[in-house]
Amino acid sequence: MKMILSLPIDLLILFAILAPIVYLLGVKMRTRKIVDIWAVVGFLVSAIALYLLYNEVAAEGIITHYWAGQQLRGIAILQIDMLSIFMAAIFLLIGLLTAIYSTKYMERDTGHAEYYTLLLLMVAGMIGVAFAGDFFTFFLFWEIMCITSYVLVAFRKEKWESIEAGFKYLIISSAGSATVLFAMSILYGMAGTLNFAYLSSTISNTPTPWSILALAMIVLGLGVKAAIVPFHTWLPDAHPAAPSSISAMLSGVVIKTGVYGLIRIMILIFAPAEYQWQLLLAIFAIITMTVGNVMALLQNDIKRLLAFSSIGHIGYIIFGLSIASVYGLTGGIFHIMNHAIGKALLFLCAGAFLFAVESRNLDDLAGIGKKMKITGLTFIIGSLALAGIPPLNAFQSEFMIILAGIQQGVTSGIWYGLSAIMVLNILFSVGYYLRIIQIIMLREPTDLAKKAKEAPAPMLFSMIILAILCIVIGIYPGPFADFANQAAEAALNLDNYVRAIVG
Amino acid sequence: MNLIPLSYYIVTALILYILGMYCLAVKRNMIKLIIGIEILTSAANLNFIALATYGNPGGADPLGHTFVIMSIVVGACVVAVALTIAVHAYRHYKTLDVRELKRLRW
Amino acid sequence: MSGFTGMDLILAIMIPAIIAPICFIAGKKIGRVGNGIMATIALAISTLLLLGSWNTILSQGHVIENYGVWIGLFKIEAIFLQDHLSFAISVLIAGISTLAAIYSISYMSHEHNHEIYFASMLLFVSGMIGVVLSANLILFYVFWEMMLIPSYFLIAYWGSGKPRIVGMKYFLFTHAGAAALIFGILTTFAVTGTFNLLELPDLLTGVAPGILKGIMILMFIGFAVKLAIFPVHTWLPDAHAEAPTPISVLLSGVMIKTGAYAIVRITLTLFPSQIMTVAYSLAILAIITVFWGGIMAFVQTDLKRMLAYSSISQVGYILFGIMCLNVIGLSGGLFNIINHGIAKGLLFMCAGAVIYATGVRDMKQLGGLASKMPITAVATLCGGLSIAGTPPFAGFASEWMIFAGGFAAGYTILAFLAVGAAIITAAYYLRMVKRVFFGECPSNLSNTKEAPISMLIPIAILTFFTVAYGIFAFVPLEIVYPAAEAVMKILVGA
Repeated sequence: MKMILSLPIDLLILFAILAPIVYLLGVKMRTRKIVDIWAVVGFLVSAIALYLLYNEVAAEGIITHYWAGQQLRGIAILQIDMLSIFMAAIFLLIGLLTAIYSTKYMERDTGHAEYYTLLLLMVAGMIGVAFAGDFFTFFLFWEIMCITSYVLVAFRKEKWESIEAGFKYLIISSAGSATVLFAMSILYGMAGTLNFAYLSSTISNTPTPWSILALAMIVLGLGVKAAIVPFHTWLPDAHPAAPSSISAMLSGVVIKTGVYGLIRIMILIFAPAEYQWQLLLAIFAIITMTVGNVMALLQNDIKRLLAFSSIGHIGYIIFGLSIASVYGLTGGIFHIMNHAIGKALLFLCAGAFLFAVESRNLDDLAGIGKKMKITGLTFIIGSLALAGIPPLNAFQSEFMIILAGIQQGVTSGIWYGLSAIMVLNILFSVGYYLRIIQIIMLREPTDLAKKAKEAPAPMLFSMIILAILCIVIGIYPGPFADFANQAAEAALNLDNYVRAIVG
Repeated sequence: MNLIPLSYYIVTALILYILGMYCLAVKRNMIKLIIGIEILTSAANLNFIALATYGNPGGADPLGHTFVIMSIVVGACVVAVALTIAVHAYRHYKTLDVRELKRLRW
Repeated sequence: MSGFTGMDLILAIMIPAIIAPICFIAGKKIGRVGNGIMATIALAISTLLLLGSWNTILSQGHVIENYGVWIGLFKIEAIFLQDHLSFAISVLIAGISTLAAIYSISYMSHEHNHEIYFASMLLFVSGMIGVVLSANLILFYVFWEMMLIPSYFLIAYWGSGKPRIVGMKYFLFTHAGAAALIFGILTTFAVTGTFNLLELPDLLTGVAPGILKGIMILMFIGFAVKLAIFPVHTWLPDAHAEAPTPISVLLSGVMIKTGAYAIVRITLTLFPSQIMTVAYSLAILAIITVFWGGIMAFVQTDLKRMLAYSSISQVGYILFGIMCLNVIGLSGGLFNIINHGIAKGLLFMCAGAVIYATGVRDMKQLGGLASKMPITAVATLCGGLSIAGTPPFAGFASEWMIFAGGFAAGYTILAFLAVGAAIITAAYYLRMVKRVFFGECPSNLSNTKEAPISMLIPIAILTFFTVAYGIFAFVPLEIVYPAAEAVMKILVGA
């Protein structure tokens, strides 16, 4: 049986479009909750479709699908390999858990119909980016994701913070998008097409000034989305300003689409052997992780701290990518997953604290973990996981990245030094994770924290699932690491990718 | 046929791009920032159109044009969202000057 | 390799780890005593399982349990190994932990959140046993860090003084050491392509000596922090003094010994020719540690802080014994690991009993407790004398062997200094016993009673072993001597 290959995206878009209608029905039937459940069902159905797709990809290696019907020079094409599936699976997982969490968390807000429509569309956009086989598709879904995320950041439009952060995010991010667009136009001018595979076969082996300009612009444009220092300034404002469930999405997965774009485009179109971007990117990565970790230590707002820590982790992932070996890329891709899980968990916990006491200030939150035991426990697990403490998940990917760096370092010393800086960074980051653990769990509760009640069941459900994933991946990383490895192999297997289109 | 050389278009597009970036960096009015975004997108669009035409002598490549049309639509969406936020900001602060929006740390 | 031999080792590691969440969930229902009994039983089972493989070790030299691939990508196998060396240390860990769990039942009665306490303690012990049994560097590192997290919470949550700052210091120090360690481990993989401890010695022989030396130094830093060698010892006095007493028992008695174990197991067996070049400098470092710990212990008035500094001093002896690089010194060092574990555990338990009974930990405010707490007094005396190396207690035999090893290795001056340091040790222990148990009893302590029976049982058991291992020193030596011989065989071969 031949299935429709864009099914996961189609379903999400379908559910998104129908969400307002469902909401209206719900209002008529006096059960407002129905739209929440509708969104959760949407993610579940899409996840099933993705699983079917996974089976097909596992069997065939790579599959292509012209979603516009016209077979025009590889345009409007979905090209799905293991890397795409891997990313889509993370997006859907976090999206699903966020939706479950939101059913309770967004209770005090209005505009549920818009909220879930945007959430579903955002995930659809992200999956589209991961599936895209050409720049046309890439850009279209990229903008779907961007626009929905702008609105979601500014969702609580009555608060000054959301408006300011939303505007700043919008300006910086769309400048990044426009830069990517410009780079696309240059590539189009050089190759006459926008298909990744064609571009790979024409541009990857012959660096010219124009293609290097395009590379620089793509790194700049996608780097804005991925929050590579110095293009990160929007992130620490935008991520805390959004509702916590959306912060979890933004920090957990949306920035990873930028990373995905970098992985896909830089390896496929600008072959590392010819363009020699590894060392430069690695230095960017080192700066990114250092800035993120140092800044995180200085924060007094829990969500802002977590946002800066995301920048630090993006640095680790980019470092893994910059090594451009199988191990490095595997580590990087694996870390995308581990960071998504850990950071989503922490943001959801922060949201639960916020839900309970309406404050994000660490001084107000002191000792709250003693009142909200389960949330506190999951918070500890998430923090320790992201601090890179074994046997929790992020350790597994971090050691792969460092290992890859050291392997590179055996032949050229500078990589050894860079890996050492990364180890120091991880060590340094432990400082602030420990600090938030101590404040949240070990201090005497403040007056505000004493009033806190344990989070409601749907929120706890999402957090517990993520915490369990942290532990399970940490203790038994085998299958997950293999999945990441398949994704990395697929990303590095240019021949396969190109042959599927060019023939 | 006496066409203007392609390089003119590309240079113009690059100048537009730099202009847009300059606008984003210097201007303090929200509407002007949004215009800056528009200039950036236009620069890329112009480049696309020029390359689409010059890549196929005697005709235009439909691909480039398709892309530009889509890009314009997407740009319109972005501007719509941006203007919405600007309106909310104006209601909140009674000004469009981003310097007034300085409660965030840049 | 003799196929599949059972699951004793992995069960010994996993049973505490599995009981921990059960303890946590059921904790509120079964209360403090229930929790404590549950933890004690879990740890006792572990101890028995570890003891159970003695016959196999005797006949085959070691027990290996291979559970196949753990992380397929790097072909990391889950392998556990128990030979004479790990048998000695792992049984010590499990045994002392069992006693500490019994001790906790009464000692922690003033505290709250017992379910988290016992769960953390079980995880802590599970990590320690795992470190000693794993035969794979990554697994080793995972357990190495796994003992760090629960012990951090145990210090930072139930500690005295400024527990959060002390906990942070402890965590950052040990974690920094661990970062150096993981760097060394990963470099090892980068040059050999395996983490397997059983295969590494052969593969490492082909590697450039410069790289090997670098790896060895990185790893040694990691172990030295855990072992609290001067100058990276500063976390120890705070952490060991401020932790709740049963945890001090575990930290001082056994946890720091994992560092010594790792030095023997990894540094000595993987880098034999490299260690020979630095052995003398490390022996000097060991003697500095001995003196530093001894002098600092001498000037303390806080009971637990004095014991903590004494641990630093003893750790110096252990390292000195190991760095003699001959059978007698090495087996003396290993023997001292056992003796110090038992005696220091005993002393901390006695100190805890005094603090429990009086609420005072400043030695100046104590005195004349011998008549009120006779059992504790006798036990303290035994422990103190054992550590000071007085016959017929266990410490005598091990310290004598360490000195003999020092002379045999040609470290004459250092060995004399080591002997001299033993006098300091004797001085501060006798002074402590005198101050706490003799002299005039302050009026506010006149109603002091002996500690409850569940605290006295572990004290009695440990006192018994302190005396018994002194008189029948051949029993533990039968375990550590072959271990030292096996290590020496590798060293001589290089």
